[in-house]
Amino acid sequence: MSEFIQNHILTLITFIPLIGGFFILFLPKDKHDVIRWSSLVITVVPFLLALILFAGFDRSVYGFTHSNGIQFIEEYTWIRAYNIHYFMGIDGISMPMIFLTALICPLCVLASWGINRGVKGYFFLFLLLETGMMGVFTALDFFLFFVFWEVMLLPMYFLIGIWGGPRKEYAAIKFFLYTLVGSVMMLLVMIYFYLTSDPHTFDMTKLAEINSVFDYRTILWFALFINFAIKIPVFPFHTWLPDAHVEAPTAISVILAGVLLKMGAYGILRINYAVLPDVSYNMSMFMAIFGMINIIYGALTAMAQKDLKKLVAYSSISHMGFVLLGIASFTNEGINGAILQMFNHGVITAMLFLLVGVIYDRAHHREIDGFGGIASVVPNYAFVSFLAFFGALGLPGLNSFISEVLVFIGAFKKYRVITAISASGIIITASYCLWTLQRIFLGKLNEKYKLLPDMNIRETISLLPLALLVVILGVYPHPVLNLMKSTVKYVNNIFLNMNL
Amino acid sequence: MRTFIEHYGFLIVLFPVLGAFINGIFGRQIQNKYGEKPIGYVASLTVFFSFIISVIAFSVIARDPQPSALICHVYNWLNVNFVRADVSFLFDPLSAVMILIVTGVGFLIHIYSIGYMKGDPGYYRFFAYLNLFIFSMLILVLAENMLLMFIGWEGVGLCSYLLIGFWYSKKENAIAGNKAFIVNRVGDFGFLLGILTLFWSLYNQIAANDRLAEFSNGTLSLLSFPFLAENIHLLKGVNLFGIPEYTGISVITAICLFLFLGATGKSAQIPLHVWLPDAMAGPTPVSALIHAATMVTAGIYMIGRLHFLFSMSSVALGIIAAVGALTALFAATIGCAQNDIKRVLAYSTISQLGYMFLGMGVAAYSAGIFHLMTHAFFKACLFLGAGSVLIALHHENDIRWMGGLKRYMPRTFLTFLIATLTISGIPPFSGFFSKDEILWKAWSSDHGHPILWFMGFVAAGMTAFYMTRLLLMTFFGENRRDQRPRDAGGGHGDQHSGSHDIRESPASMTVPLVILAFFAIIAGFIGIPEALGGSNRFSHFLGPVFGSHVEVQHHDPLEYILMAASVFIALFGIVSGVLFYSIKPGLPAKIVSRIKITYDVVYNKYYVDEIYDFVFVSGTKVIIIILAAFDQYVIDGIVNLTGFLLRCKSRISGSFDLRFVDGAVNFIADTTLSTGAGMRKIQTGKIQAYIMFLFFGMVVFVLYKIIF
Repeated sequence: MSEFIQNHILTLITFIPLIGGFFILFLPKDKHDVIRWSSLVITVVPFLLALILFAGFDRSVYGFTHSNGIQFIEEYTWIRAYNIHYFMGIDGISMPMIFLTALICPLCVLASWGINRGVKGYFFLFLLLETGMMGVFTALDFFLFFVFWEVMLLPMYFLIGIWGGPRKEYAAIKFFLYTLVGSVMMLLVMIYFYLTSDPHTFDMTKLAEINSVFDYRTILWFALFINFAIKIPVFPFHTWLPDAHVEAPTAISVILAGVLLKMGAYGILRINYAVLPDVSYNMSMFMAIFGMINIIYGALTAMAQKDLKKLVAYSSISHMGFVLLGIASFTNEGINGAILQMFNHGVITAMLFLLVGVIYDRAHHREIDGFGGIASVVPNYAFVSFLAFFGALGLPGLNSFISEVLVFIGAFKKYRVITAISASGIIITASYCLWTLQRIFLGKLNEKYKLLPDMNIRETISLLPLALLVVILGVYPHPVLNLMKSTVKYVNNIFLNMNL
Repeated sequence: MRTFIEHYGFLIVLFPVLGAFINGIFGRQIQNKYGEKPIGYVASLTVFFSFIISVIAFSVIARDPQPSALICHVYNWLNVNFVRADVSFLFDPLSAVMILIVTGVGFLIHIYSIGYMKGDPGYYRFFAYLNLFIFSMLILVLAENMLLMFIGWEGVGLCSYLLIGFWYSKKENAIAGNKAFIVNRVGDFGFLLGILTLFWSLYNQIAANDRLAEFSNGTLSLLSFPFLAENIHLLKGVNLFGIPEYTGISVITAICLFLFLGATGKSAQIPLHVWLPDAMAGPTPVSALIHAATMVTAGIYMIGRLHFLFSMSSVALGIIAAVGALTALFAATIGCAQNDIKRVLAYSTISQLGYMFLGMGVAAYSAGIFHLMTHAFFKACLFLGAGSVLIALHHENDIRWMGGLKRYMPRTFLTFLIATLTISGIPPFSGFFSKDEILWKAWSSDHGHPILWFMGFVAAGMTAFYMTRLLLMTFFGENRRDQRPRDAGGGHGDQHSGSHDIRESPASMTVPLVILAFFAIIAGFIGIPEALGGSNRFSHFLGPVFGSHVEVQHHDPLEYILMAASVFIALFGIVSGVLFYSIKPGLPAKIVSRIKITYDVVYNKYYVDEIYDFVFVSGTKVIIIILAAFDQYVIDGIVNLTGFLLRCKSRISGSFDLRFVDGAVNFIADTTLSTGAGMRKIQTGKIQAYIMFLFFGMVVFVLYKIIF
């Protein structure tokens, strides 16, 4: 049995949610609690598997080939005629993301407890979504990657479109179209890669190996980049994000910001950097500038928001700018910082959206100015919110400080002015975070919320692991950093050895 | 004992954070169940333990004849390529002095707070924050590298924010907290840029010298202070980023100025001084501990810690000295015109911090640290005295409605008097020695200038004047409480008339006052200059850190002249204060009416707050409104417009499709996906359906593969 798990762990981690989803389809429709509890159990399984992965992950591997660097490989020929493989494997870039996904999903099930309408469908789609996400992070065959990429899109569309807020259709379609435009571009690039490679292959490691045979490299790079830029999202492709977030139910916002956005940066590292390294290197300045714009623009627009959820959404745009800036730095420090920032942002933004959900469930609105002074009524909620917002503003000692500093150090080597401007974002971020906290928690108590109940046990449990991570990874980041270091070294050495 | 500190020195830091943890997590339950007592005891005791170990550490350092760096390594915090930072604590004479001040004064203020905060519903919160502050401050002071120092640096900022806004149900307090944190962030931005510039310029030099191999085993840290001290000479003569266009600016100057921006934020110097007066919204023990004795001196400490860096740039030193002298003078003028007892003390703090920067700026590092220490005693004493007054007067903080308190509060009065004489620079109180050493160095040092001395000299006179004014209006004369206009704001609203209920504060508050006053008197004796026949032991103690520059042995007669001048100006300030506010009480009003405009400008703090408010706060508000509108109407507008156009087009081409193209469309060949027709098909879910089939096919396939 344990050998079976060892050999198929990535398949299990990816498909257990889906199988569980089918199981849920057979449950009676009106037994809501049964469905909830089963979903929780089902999502805990991948988390336990992720812990096994975490323990068994070889942190010293270096490379991006079947024999070297990629671990837990599973490969079968899938469609022989087109040389499509079912090829899964992970390295230091995907491992933190898998862990993050596996961690966030059970917490999201907890946050979905309040869903009362179409419970069965909701959890089925949710589990399908988890399969899609896990698949994206484990697939190393481009075709397979694309399949998972699309699989993820569909449940997302329905989850927003059916269980969302008042403007859910608009938001869902917008999300769908945006992502679709990107997917189409990726599809075309994928077909081009396939047709140009000889023998035809979708295997990413092989594509990376033979990357010099591809022509039209800059166009290909941009086609891929735009797809991933939409996901990150990079200015000016970001407007789907606030709408999607505002309309989506809490748990889906958490998934969106916590995991989905990371796929953009992951894709750039996995495909753009691996298959088109020279163009990526030449485009570094371009990416750095957009990273800077994201940081500053996202922070400033966040400050202008009146809706708490929208504010958090814009803050995500700002924080993902750090990721872009970091990977654009082409330094060990910067790329490590970027991946760590992906993880840290996943944790913090998940907290923030969960917290928004908590208050929304009670007050039924999210107007920042509609609260005031509630810290005295809900001290536990206030405590966790302060922790999350201070994490978001990069307080030294909390986790995102480390990733931000690494990004700044990495980026500063090449881009002094861009980094300096980006670093001024720490002032703006502090301003909007504190201003938000002040308007919600401090000041005179709004009499309307005199009897606001504090967080219940379910909400506390959903926030506690994240809160602990924010603190622990702030003082001891090695568990996550060690996963990625050696792979990042490999990626970075490709560029160092290119002699550009 | 040395090995004890090497192995267990981290306990100094650990105890307060334990206290913060206990009170922060369980404090509310403890307070509800067992009352306030255990909370105050736990908090004070943890700081006391830290103090004990600090004393041990200090004695180890003091007894060590050849002090080498004593480092307590705890664990590796960060290790990515060349970025390495450890959680390690550095014990040397400088940090030893600082931890004594932090834990010693901190402990006294904890004791004081037990009485001061009595009955506050947020009692546990207060002590948790206070412990957390001590923890952060100790991290800042003991940090072995710049990144760890940054943790402490922002940690104290966080605690300051939390404590300024401690009584958060008043909106102004919360806003004052925000202001403090955000203004400090501006400084942190500079600090961060300083770290970045330092890191890469040093890296480049090390790479140029082929020494990168030293880092391969991963134990060296570029940003650790011992490493910096040893290798900073590599940066000598390096231009900013090696760009020839910038030949005027050396990279050292740039680093120093960036770091100094950080220092102006934390230590409330021009132009980032604006947050400190507002920070007085916090409870008074906080003002004493954080906003007078310890946190605000972090900037001075940082310069002292990196003195080897600052010493290499006379441009940066000149700017620091100028900013310090200017701030000392500028804040002193404002101090003369304020009526809020705590605000007077706040401006006085800014002014005194200016002195310290003046000292650092003329490379008289030990003089700056000496004044830091004496200031910690007398300013903490003044603030705690003010707190005692506030408690007695039910939070009446306007000195115009005080008066005559010396009759009711003899202990508070006496300690306040001593501290006032100390800050005014009257010998033999400690303030005289420390301030005078700075003034002397401001004139005589290689980096000094008579103008710098003169600015400090004038500020010294003003200090004596406004402190005398404060003392007289608070403790002397008749009580003016019933003259207070009823509708004026401030206070806690409970307008008792008469003075019958004014009482001396309890022992838990007056004992710390007495102890602090005692140190305010005697602390100067460890730094009596050679010119007065002393041996300046303080400077010698810090010698190993700052380099024991042997003093000129012959005593310049000028030193005595300047010393006499300082005493004279201090006396002059006191006498004119007495004249204005005791002998001829009508005089100030007369003078004010003569110089109405000047007075208004000074009274309104030179309108700096208003200018900043207009430029930065309103400016940002306008920008964010514009950007948000841009986001909503332009960018999203384009998106929606594109969507609309595509819908129109797809309708047209859709009908075209229906008529001319046969319904069956090959999916892969249909690469006209970007056209509306393609869009519409995707919208109808054809590709999705296809992908879904593919996907479920794959699921079956995978199951098959795994099972068979």
